[in-house]
Parts: sequence; structure tokens; C-alpha cells
Amino acid sequence: MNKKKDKILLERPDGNMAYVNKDLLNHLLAKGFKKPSKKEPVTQVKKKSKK
Amino acid sequence: MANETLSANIAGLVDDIQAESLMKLQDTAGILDIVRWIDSSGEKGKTVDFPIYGTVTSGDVSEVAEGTDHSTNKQVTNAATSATVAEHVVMANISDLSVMSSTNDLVDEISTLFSSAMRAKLEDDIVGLFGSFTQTVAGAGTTMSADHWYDAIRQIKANSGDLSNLAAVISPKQYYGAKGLRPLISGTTHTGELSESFKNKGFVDMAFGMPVLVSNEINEDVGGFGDAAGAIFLKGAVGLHTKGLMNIEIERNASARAFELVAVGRWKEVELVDDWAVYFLSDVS
Repeated sequence: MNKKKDKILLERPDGNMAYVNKDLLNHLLAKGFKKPSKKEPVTQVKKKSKK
Repeated sequence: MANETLSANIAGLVDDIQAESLMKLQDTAGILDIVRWIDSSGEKGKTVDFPIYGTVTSGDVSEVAEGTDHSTNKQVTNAATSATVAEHVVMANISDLSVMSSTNDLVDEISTLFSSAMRAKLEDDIVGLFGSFTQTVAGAGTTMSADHWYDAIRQIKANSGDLSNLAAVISPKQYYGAKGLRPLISGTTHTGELSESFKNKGFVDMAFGMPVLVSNEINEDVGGFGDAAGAIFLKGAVGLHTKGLMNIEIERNASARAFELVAVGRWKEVELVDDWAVYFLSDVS
């Protein structure tokens, strides 16, 4: 499926995610929807120990 | 044997035979039939109001003793949801040289492709409302079960929805997939008419008392978690205003030596009654 230009990913009040039409953004934010928070990267680069 | 005259030796004398062009037209679910659709072609104005009455419940009805006045009025309200049509466009410049050189009617065939894409976009916009439905069943990482279907029906019924207008729109994986509708009604241990219908035809006309449509426009990896986002709703839950739905215009562009082909769709989709719709997110990974 093509990536949709006019859809936005939001977190619903029940915790589930949803792609919704962009023109609904303000309406849904007022209803308690949230923009998903960016997650920290899982893998971390380890410092090389000097031998 | 040597020195045979092969087809490879007669360059320029062997033409390629062109088979009929195949078109990957966009498959659509026929979603227009299950929403409240108003077309305002020929009418002035670009906004349609969908009026919705406030509820009057059994609690508003009182038993009154004979011969006594009843002095409490019930205020009946009406709200309207507006739908102002927006334009949706896809266009192409088709050069004269390509039209003259092609064995096919290029303009006609590209028009067909555009028409198909426009219908898919309309469906995509309606599907884009599903996530805004407040009520929900299943959820991220949850495999679809029969209980989810009945729970959705229960929620709509509890809000006085007319279940005869119920319909579901789900993704291909939610319909055919190993975690979808198919194993619920046509698994290896299932028997009966519904199961046989699925096995014979590859689909069922109705399931859980409603038509179930399959839309390719539904995202099957919401948020990257492998969940698909369908919905179950009544006809009155979603409104659609079109103004002629779409038209395709072909115009000569002499300086560009080309035909300009512009397809324009005019519509607006709106949610009308939130209580009559249920968001159906389920695991399809």
C-alpha cells in the first residue's frame, strides 16, 4: 500500500493508534487524541574499552 | 546442419505482437452504498448540512394522573454536521508523439486509470474517519474473535442504532488472514452453510448479520505494530457529500504538443453519529 500523504498517526484516548485524515487533527486533539511520542532508540552504541 | 536461416537472422522483418494492455485498476469495496450519501450536482452551494435530532428517551415520558396538568416540556433539539466539498485532482500530460505512436487509445486508457484511482481515494478518505470513532473493540496486538463482532453490535445497539443498516469494512488481512474473519467462520473444524460458502466462493455475503466489505485502503501496519484498522458502523454514522463525484477533462496544449488530462473529484466525508460506529483494530501480523 502506498504511503498516504494526507493521513496522520495519532494515539487514541484508549491507547490504540490510528491513521486518520489530516484535516481532523485539531478536532481529534480536542477530543483527547495525542500525537505519538517519539521513542528512544532501543540499541545503544557501546564505548570501546581501551586495552 | 549449418547455415540455416533463423528468425534471428532477419532483423527488421519480425514484428513484435502487442497483447492487449493490462490495467491494474484499483479494487474498491463499494463503500458508497453503506454511507449516507448526498450528491448536490446542479444545486447552488458547496456545503450540505446533515441534520441530526437530539435523543428523546423513555425517561422523557411521564405517567400523569388523570385530570392533572402536565407542565414539563421536553425541548427537542437538532444539530447539523456540515460537509463542504473539497477538490481532489490527478492529472497527466500525454505527448502528441506518444499518442500518435501508441497502438492503443492512450488518452482513453489513462482516463480509466485515473477514474479508478479517484474512486480509491474517495474510499481512502472514508476509511480515514475510522480512527476517530470513539467506541472500540479488540485493539493493538489482539487477534480478532467472534466476541469482538458481537461486542461491536452490542455497543451500537445500546445506542439505539438500527442494526438493519449495519456494515463492516475491514482490511484484506482482517478478512482472509490467519488472524482474521476467515478462521472464525471457515476453519478446518467448521461446518455449515457459512463455512461452505467461504470455501466454495472465497467469501461470504453476510457475517454476523451484516455485509462485510474488504478495503485495500485500510492500513495493515498501524504505527508499525502489525495491526489493521477496520470499522463496524451504521449507514447514518458516516455522511458523504459529492458534487458530481468526479469528471475527467481533456484539453489540447498546443505549445507543449500534448493532451492535458485532468481528473477532478469533489467530495467531503464526515462523521455524523459517533455512537453508531466502532473502531476495529486487530492484530494481523
